[in-house]
Amino acid sequence: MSELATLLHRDAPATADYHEFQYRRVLTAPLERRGELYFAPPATFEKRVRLPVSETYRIEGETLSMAFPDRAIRQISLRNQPLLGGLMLSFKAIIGGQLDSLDSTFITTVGGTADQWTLDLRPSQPDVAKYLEVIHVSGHRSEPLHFEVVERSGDRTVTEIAPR
Amino acid sequence: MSVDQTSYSSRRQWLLMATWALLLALGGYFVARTLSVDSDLRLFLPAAQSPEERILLDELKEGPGTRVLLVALSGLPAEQLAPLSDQLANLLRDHPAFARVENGTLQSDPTMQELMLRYRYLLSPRAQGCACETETLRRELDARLVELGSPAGALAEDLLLRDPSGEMQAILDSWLPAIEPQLQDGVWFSRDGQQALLFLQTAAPGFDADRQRLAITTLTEAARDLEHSGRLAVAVTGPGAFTVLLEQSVRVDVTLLGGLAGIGSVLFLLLVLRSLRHTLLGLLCLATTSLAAIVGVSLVYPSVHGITLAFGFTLLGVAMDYPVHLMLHLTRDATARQTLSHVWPTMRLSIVTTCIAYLALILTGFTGLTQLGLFTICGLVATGMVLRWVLPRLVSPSDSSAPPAWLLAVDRLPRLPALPLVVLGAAVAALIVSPRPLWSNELAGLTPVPQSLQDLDARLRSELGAPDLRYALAIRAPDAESALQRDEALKGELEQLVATGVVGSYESPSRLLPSVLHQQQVQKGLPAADTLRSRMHDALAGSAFREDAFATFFADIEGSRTLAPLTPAALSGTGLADRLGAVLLQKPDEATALVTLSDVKDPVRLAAWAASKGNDVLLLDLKSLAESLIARYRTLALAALGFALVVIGLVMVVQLRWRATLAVLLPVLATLAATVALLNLGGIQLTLFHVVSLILVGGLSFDYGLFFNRSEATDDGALRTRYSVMVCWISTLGAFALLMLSRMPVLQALGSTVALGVTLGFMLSLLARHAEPEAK
Repeated sequence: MSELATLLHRDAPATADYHEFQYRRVLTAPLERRGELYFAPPATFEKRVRLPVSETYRIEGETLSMAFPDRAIRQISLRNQPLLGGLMLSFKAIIGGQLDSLDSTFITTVGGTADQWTLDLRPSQPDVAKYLEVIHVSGHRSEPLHFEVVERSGDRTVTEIAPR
Repeated sequence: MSVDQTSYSSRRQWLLMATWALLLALGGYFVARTLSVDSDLRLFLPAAQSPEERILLDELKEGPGTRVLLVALSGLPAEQLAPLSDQLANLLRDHPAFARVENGTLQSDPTMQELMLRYRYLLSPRAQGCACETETLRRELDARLVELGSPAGALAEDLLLRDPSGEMQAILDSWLPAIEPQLQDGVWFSRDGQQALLFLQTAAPGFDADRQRLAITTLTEAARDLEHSGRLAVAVTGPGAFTVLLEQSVRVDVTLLGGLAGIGSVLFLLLVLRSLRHTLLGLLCLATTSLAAIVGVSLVYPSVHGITLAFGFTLLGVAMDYPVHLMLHLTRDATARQTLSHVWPTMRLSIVTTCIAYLALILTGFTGLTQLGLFTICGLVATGMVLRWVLPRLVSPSDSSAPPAWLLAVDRLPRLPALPLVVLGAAVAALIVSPRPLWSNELAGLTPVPQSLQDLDARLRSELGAPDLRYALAIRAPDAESALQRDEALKGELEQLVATGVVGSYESPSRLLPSVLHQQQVQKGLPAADTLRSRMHDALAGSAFREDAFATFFADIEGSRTLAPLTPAALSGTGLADRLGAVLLQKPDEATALVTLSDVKDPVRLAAWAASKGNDVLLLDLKSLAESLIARYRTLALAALGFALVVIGLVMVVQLRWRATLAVLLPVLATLAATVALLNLGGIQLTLFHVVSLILVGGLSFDYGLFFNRSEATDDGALRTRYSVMVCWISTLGAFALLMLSRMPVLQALGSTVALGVTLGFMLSLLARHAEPEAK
């Protein structure tokens, strides 16, 4: 785990493109989204959705700001939003290489080699576990490449990441 | 008389005094047990004369505005303050003293959530209650698909499917306040990022000092328990905090400064009277006066106002002068009874005229001033009775002291009968040419709250985005439903006012809760099950959503068609009830809907529009209403005083004839005018509290004049009169000069006005004294 943390650790801002597919029971086809992930040490993380519409989710400390076209920016506190906080913070922690921040929300299991590592996150809080089954992450050396979020309902979100 | 007899009668006198003291102590104990002290500032406001004023006073009385407490946490870094703010908010939410606790964190209020969900089509800001046409549904479904894909989508899936037309979001958007405070680390912060802010609403009204103190103590203790380093600073403002602060500070200042003044007076009396017994008698008189005053007010009113007590006791200080006059006139050549019969006519005239002045306060009809008048009159009457029937039995001529020799020098001071006229003329002229306004018209002028705290309150209000509530429309109707209907009917024209730039924005009560009539119309317009299904089928063509995912939506629309409409009563216990209560004021036989107007750019056109709407729509300009209330209050109080002066003048003419009357009254008028002129010169604008101080100054100066102008049978008598007046002046001056040390602006104003006034009064009366002793 500490080796992985060392691998993922970042001192400089980083941007990566992502491509996401959501498989949901209520949909006849997967929902596709594209955009970029941005991390700036120590604590800023942004998910910038480009397609199908432009949206920005920005985490600063424990505040989540959401910017949608034609609407005022909305801010909420992640402290009282365990599920949303857990999801957003897990992305932030892995992209930003702050694995120790996962401990409060997840039970982590590391596998594989430095060239082909895997990381499983299982929620430790009942509030989160009610919705979320597991998050599978895998990657190559310092690059996380693949996220799969599996919900209790069976709905899944698969995210492929392409570092720049 | 033999030595034995003297000591026997002296022992009897001490026994009588002990009995008196015991009775007073018992009475005092009983009063302290049963006395209920009120701190509602409105008692010192006049009764409403117009509907607009009544709404203003109702708001000041019970309105939700009075229940707001604003809290600022500071002293720690933001990342520590933010979780503290959350923890504190959660603790307070569970406490019954607080009806509403907001710190910027989205809270899930399951009751409210359930209610909104159930009634969402009836509450929707959309005219039809639901975006349920095929085309609008198609657009809304696209938006839901995007939301489903967002990070929060998994959490919101059930709601998205149940509410595909997005009514919940539409309602929430329409309820958003115009300005929201800045969010940092998930909670509200001041713009400089130094203070975490909370917005609280107490269960108790703002003037309920006991329950407000409980709420504030709960808050500060909770904060202290959460953070042990002692670096966390908690500032609380708002009407309730002011009430508590006022009560505490007045109590502390009155106790401390009053105690100091008391000790000072006792020492001074001992020095002047040179008799322990007479000093004790003086104190017994004062205690009797105070007890009678409190009992008198509590017999008429269920509770005595704190301001009545604080001011009343200072006003009653004058009652202490009478025993001093008696004791200083005692000589070994006459019995106490003979001495009293000699000074009694002057005292009686003084007591009667002072009572007339305070009767004028009662006639103003304002509860606060009536209490104050009643308080003083009861005290004075008791003093008179003690003087007439009790004191002569207990004072001892053998304890009498002679005036000091240097006082003869005072007698050699020139007599300047024209001086008061000159001073009066100069003061009036100075006031006429003065560029400074004489009166403070601000309602804030009545607030005895220190400026620094008022500034903090204003800053927190602006940080928290509390709207500027100067202008509002009041819609009056027989009941809440008609008020809401009228409000809805005005919506089009209000939109027009916004569009034409007359006002920036408005907020209507019917936006929070539409009228029953509107809800019923919406129900009629909701599509039947078959219609909705076929529209949904068309809207879903080409969409990623599965058609069978929306069962809850169909069920909810069908259910909404037959729901009993939501009424204000059904909201009780929810956060919405508080918000609605603030803008929909309900009484048994009438209701008022308040439409708040922000950023009013053209008050003239706004007023013209409101006037064209008929009697049930009133434009409230709270600032000018408050100012006119204060002005009317002042006019009435001054008219009552003028009336009192005329009556006093008539009484005196009957008793003393013209010349003597003028010799007494002119210095009083000159004193009042000069005091006002000097205050104005010092840049002080007069408030109610100055008026009360001036009444005291007038009464005391009047007494000085009466005594200085007494016809005395002997030189010694004249000298003793001068001496006793001077003693009274010095003790009053000392007590009120001490009051200037108070931290409370009100008590400072009282102290400085009275100290200045009595000094002027004493000097003017002395220099203008008209008669030399007759025997000379």
